[in-house]
Amino acid sequence: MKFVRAGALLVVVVMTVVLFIGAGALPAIYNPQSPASTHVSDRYIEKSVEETGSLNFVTAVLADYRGYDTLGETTVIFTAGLAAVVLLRSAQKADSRGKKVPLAKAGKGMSERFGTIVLNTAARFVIPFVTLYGVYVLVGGGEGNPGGGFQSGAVLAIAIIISRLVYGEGAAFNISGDLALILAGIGTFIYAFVGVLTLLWGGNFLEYGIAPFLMSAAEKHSLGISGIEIGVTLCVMATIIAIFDALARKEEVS
Amino acid sequence: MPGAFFLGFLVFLMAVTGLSALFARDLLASIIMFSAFSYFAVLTYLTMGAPDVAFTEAVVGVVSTTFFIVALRRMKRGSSK
Amino acid sequence: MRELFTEHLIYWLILFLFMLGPYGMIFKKNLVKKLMSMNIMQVAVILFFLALGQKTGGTIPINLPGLIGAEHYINPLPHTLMLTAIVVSLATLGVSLGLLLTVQKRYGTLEEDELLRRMNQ
Repeated sequence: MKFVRAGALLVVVVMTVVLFIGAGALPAIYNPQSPASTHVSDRYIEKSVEETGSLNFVTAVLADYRGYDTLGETTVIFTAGLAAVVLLRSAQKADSRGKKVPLAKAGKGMSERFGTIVLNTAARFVIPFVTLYGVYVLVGGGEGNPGGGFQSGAVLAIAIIISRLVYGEGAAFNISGDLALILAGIGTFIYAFVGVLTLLWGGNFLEYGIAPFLMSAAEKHSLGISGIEIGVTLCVMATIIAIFDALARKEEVS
Repeated sequence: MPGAFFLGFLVFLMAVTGLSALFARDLLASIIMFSAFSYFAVLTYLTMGAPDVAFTEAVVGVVSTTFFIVALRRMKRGSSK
Repeated sequence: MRELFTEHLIYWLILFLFMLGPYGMIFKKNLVKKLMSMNIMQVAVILFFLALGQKTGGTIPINLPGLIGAEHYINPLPHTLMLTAIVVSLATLGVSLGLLLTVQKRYGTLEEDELLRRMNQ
């Protein structure tokens, strides 16, 4: 056992030394001529405003130039949420198999209101503002503010998590775990549907400029970006809530 | 370039909080230090001029701390060093 | 010394942070701490990518009126890739916490030595 630990330490030290030597050969930080900053990123910076109508370059690259990438990421998030929920619920199901407890009823024991008056008042004050800010982040994402679908979805999920933490599972402002999974699926579907729509209009996948509307190309791109950002927001928000719900489910006591 | 010195200081603070998260005996303390680590990561991203990434990390740091603490309710709090 | 700091010392600090990850995953016995060291490693990788996109005199990648030209803005491509990576890391954190809770439920412990002993019974 001692030998194994010594060998592992040796591996860590050797890896550190190799990485440190390798870092010396990297291009200097803050160098404008480094290879990462000279090829494709110039085009993104110079053309994205006239081509996509988005003042924030990150949103333009995320939702337009690399939209197919982001579709993959959204699918990964949805799948991971699904996997977490399936894992936790199947453990619970195996536990209650002999007791004939229906799965929907399991873990609904948190209905009592366990917030103090301070928590209740603070939550009532905070939740509307957090929700409003989430929507603002979604809308302002392409208009020169940092933000976009991913951040907006997480902020909205935080609003619901605050409500769940303070008021318990019987909170009025709440999305249940089952509904959250459905919403996550709908969000991913909206994203893919925008892509299929551009296919039906005769363009490439996620080629927003093909849409038969009476607009300039930049406005069409802007519309397409808004569409997929809504899908991303729904997917991220619902996935976070589903995972939180699965983790917070109370264990079956009876 | 004064930004580089500030950046180095922030990365050093990240290393300190990360190490103390790994060496705490109480898992709750470990999670709180991990949350502090995430906060210094936010500051580092901002110093590097990436407001979008900093915003995402700020929000995700909150949610991941919540996940850890909610999961901790079903685990034992103690940990070997 | 000043050149060293501005050119390569940031990389070495980030790599030190990165090596906390393998160290923790090998030497820490608690599975939650292994998960944390994995997250620390991921943050270090994100920092490394962001450091690659830095430019002297560049501002944040949001279009300012009247400021045209690629040399005035930081490279937005690493920001995009890392933004999605952070959110994906949150989802994978959920999956790994689910796995940990399943292990805890079945074996009653998260310490590695104790876990191996109980698995062999």
